[in-house]
Amino acid sequence: MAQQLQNITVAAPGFFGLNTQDSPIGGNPSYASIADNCVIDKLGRIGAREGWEEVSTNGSSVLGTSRGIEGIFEFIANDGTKTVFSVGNNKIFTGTTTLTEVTLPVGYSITANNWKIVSFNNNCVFFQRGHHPLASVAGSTTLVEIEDGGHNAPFGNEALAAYGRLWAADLTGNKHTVYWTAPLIYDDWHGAGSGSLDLSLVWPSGFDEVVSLAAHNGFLIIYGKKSIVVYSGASSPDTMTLADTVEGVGCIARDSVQHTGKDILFLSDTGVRSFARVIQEKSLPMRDISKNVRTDLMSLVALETNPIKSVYSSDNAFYVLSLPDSNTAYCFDMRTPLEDGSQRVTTWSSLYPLSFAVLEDGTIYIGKDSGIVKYSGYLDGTEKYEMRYFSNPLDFGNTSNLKFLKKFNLTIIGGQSTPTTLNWGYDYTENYTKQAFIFGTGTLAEYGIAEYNTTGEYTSSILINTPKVNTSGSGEVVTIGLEAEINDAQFSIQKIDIHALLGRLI
Amino acid sequence: MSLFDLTDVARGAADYYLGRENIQDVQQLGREQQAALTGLAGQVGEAAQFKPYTVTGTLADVSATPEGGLTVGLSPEQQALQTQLMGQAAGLFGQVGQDPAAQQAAIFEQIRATQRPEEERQRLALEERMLSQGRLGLSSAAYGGSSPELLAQETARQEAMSRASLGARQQALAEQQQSLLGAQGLLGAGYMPQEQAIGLFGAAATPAGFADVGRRTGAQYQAELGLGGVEARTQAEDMANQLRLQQQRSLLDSLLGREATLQEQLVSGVLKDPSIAEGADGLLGGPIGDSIGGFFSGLFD
Repeated sequence: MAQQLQNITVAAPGFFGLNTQDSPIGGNPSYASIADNCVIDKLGRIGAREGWEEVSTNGSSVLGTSRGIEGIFEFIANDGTKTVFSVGNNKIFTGTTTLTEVTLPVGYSITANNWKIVSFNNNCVFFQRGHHPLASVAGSTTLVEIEDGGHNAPFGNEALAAYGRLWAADLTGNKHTVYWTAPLIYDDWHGAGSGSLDLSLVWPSGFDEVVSLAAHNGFLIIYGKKSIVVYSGASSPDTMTLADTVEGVGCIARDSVQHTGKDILFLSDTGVRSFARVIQEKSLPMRDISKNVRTDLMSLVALETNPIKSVYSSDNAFYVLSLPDSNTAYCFDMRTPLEDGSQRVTTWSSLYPLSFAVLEDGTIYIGKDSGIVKYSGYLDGTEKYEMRYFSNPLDFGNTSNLKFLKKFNLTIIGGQSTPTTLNWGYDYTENYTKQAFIFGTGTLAEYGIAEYNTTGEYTSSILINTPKVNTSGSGEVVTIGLEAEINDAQFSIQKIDIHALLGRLI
Repeated sequence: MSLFDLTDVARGAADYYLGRENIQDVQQLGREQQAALTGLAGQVGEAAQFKPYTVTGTLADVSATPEGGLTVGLSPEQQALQTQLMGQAAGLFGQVGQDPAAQQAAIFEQIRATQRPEEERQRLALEERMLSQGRLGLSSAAYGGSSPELLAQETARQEAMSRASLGARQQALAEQQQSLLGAQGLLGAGYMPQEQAIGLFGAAATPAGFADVGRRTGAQYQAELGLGGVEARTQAEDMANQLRLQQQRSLLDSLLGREATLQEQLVSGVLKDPSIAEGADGLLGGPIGDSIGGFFSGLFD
């Protein structure tokens, strides 16, 4: 006797993002095993990330054979003038469309591109290990060395503008001292009001090295590699006191530290973590943001030799951590944490980001080998890119029954002219059965471009595709996936309805 | 030449002779008196000579020397005590003579030694507090490269050191003054055995004075008696000389006559009797005298 088909709906598949840590059996089907070039869109769906568009036009000529633009910073002067500084090829540039070298001090030589660029009291300052710190006064394209009457600023690798002072740390040969300027004077590192803090006797683990500095929740947070010390009262450094220490967790990448407004994110050697902002308690509860991808993430982090970069976009509500040597970026959706305290995470590949910057208007600039690009559109330059989503093995709540997949009903938001391949496989195989299809073209209706009852055809404002794919085979657990070549169109997976037939007990 | 003239000559020669004899007698008498007085002086001096004596006590033996000095011989205990006191006084005088800066430094160290333990406790407490507050490595340009707490502590320490230095200076000077007083006291005490011995000698001065008075009185009596004897002899010799002179002059007058005395001349004038002022003719003043005078005057004519 024929059995009744059982309908299994995977609504908003991958809504919980990647989970490569937990056992897939019996897990939440909302987790994905692969979510590459994906983001969690504003409606909580797995969707394709945006692509990039060229901003600079002379990148190849000014960058030569270097890695590319390895740092970007938008400086806004007190009069509102915006200047984008970028670094690469051992040079410092200004401009976006045309990258123009700044004028360096006479005889100044740059040997690396890992600058920390900070805006402080209408000055833009540049810090990098082993380099005399530079300053652009009020956005000037002529940089000056930061020194005060023969007293040089510390040649730190980390700088922070906070609490009315400029802070610096991580010097060659001295990774345990934090220096600060006199109030509001970027070049006064030795006068009244300046000072330093030797952390040799403060590290909870006995020894550590300052990697990064952050101001958060009224505290000065000093990140070591293996520990974190938190000082209160940093607005008056002479009297600031240790408020908290965290042992065993530190920050391993200077540029992984990002503020989200309520959290401060950083990459530790156990994954991405955050300090939450708690005003009343004045405490700093810490969360493990990347616990669902920890092993994968850290295995890639271990391979990195070039600086790890990150960006937080409040418009897109994501935190992207770029691992340039492995050509992977982890994108953490920062809208709502999951029940376990982690954030939804996806990965980006084929983007090759070397650096990021979020401009005042929310635009995300990305430093690439070709120059400056911006996060926009659904093409990587002019090329299509592949979005991949694969579920974890699904048992549909019956771990011991065979499942016979009969049909997939997909609901895709967007996806005009997007070649797509549906994948499914049984029992943990990665030799998937594939079914390719392509969505039709369509033009979204817009006001004022055509008239009713003419030859033009327009869809509604949202293009919805609902392909149906017949499937075959059987197995105890099923893995389904969708690979789409993003072709200048939004692509989000709204829902996957799976018609399956439950078989005998195994 | 008349006889009268010869008589005068004879009288003159006799007067000369008698005068010379008397002078020789007086000279002889003077020499004898000088010899007698010299002998008397020697006797008196010997009788009046100081006789040394010794006072013996349990503290000391004090002896007077013939020259009038004193020899004090303290007992061994007193000598030891004096040596001890003098040594102590010398020590204190040595302290008085020291450089005040050196004493100040020594006292400063003593004061600081009493302050350092508490300072060390406070330093450790501050260090622990700063360590717990994570401020041990803090260096602020506004506080001379230190932290406010460390600067305050160091300032307090420096103030304590300044006060200690000033106090040490005052104490050093006070101790020097005290040492001076102490040394003076010890010095006085060191002299005390001798003073007591000399006092003992002084106490024996009264009985010793009795003997001395007797001796001196005896010498005085001896001198007085000796002088009395000399004077009596002088008077007797003088009287004998007078008598002899008178005797010889009478004899001469008897032989050669005499001129009127002043009294006779005055009476003669009053009575208007020149015969009274004529004197008396001697044995050779009459015709014999004239003859003899004539004889002698003829010799000279």
